[in-house]
Amino acid sequence: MIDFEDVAVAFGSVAALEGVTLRVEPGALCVLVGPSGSGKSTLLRLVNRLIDPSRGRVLVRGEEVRGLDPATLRRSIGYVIQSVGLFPHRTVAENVATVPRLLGWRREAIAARVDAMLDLVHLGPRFRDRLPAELSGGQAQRVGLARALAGDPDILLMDEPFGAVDPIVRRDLRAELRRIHEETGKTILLVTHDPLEALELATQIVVLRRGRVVAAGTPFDLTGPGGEPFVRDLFGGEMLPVRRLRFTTVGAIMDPPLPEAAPTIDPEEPLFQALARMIDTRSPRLNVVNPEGGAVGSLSIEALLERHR
Amino acid sequence: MRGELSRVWTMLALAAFAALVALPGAARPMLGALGSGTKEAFALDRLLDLAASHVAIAGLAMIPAVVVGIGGAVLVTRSWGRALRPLADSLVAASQAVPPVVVVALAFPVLGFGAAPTILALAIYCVMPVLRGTTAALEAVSRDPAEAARAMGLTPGQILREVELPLALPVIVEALRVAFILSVATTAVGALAGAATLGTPIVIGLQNQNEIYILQGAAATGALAFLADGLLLGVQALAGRRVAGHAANAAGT
Repeated sequence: MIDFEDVAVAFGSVAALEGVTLRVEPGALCVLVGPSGSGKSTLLRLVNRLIDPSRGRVLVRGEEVRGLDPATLRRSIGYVIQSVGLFPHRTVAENVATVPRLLGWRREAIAARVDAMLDLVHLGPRFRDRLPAELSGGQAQRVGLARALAGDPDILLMDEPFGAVDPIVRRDLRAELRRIHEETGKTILLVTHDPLEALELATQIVVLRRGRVVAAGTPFDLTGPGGEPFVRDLFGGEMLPVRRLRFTTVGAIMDPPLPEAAPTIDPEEPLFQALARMIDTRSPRLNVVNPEGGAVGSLSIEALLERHR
Repeated sequence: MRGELSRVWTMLALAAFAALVALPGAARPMLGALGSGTKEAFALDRLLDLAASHVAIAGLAMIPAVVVGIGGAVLVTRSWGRALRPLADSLVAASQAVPPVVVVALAFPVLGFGAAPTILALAIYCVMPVLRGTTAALEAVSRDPAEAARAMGLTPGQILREVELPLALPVIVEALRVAFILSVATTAVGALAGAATLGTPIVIGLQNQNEIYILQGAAATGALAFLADGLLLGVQALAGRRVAGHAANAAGT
């Protein structure tokens, strides 16, 4: 869906990106992570031509972006920035309607789309006529997301989308984003400096440092044994084995059911939930029970230690 | 909001008082009490005709001032026009440094007697508050909405029309009000070049040593300036309710 081929970007004599080659598959939630100045936002802004590379090629849907009209390209790609950038003189509905209006949609189609988008981000129609000044930080971020998705883009770019909201709202918004990604199947490219956010959200992680890609892969791959010290440190050093428990479900490593009574857990829960439940209940074994109440397996602490690689 | 409304009423009250002083029936006894003003007063119907002409000249001068001022401000705030900023600043400063009466004097050999040299002088004089105010207004607009607009595929012209100018509007309107007040207050000098303004009774009064004419002309000019200020402040205050929320938000995010 998005390809970077040996891309370099220089601002004056300062190299922001150097020799970046990367492919983002359709439907991926690709998170670019790295310290400040690593070039992650620059990489994002190449996709909709907010900047152009000084060398190399950027392809979107197989077409080199340099040959495309910037305004047309940008209307086909959703964009969310940290500061949200809602138009303060326009209502929520008018903000969300921006791209559909630019695309020349009919009035009724736009109105229906606005309602659908507000629904998608769990803001009701009562928010339609509010001004951005009347929204909380979290609500403004949701409107920003609704606005970015309104033109039905197949690609969504997000630059530190949850950076400006408090931790609790951030957790909710991450969950929303994962849900929306699953529901809509959009290709999402998201920039964050928070490695844990990357691990929680991504289907694909790209680690950048000083303008170069230093690691790329699934969260499971990047938290595995071995790997570069910088990458290991970034994702938590000695905490890595615990963090990795997030990426395997109970159902994937469980044993057949046993008759003895034990605390229960859902097969779809990740292993760290299973471990937490064992610690919490001081039980070395859990019965795996599906939402309908049927016993489908069991999980012991030994099996967890042995099979979680 | 309350402060703005009290300013409106203050201006309107001052306008009413000055208008009262300009009335023939009031100006003559006032000066009479001071031992002067023995001649006849300027007739009310002629005074009203001159007031209408005065406002028309002040208003006509605003058209070129607004076009040049706002156009120039848009130009020097574009990334490709930024190089023109110092030039615009010095031209504007120069235009303010030259007194309108000098422009009228220099222009009337070319443009002749009447309203034309006055309009030219006022337009030059009023460009500065418009240009400076609009430039400041555009520069004060938060970059985030404009940047978001660019990323969503608005063209530079659409960003200017749909984001930057609406957000800058309250400050631009303030600049236009100041320029218009300046224009109304300064239009009186046009009488020197034969334009029909409220400066006309002053000029005639000076020639004939009629203090009543002078007082009436001065008071009527003041009344018009106060009236224009009060009315425009009122319009701003009414329009400001919605806009104030926007400006606060633009500054806050």
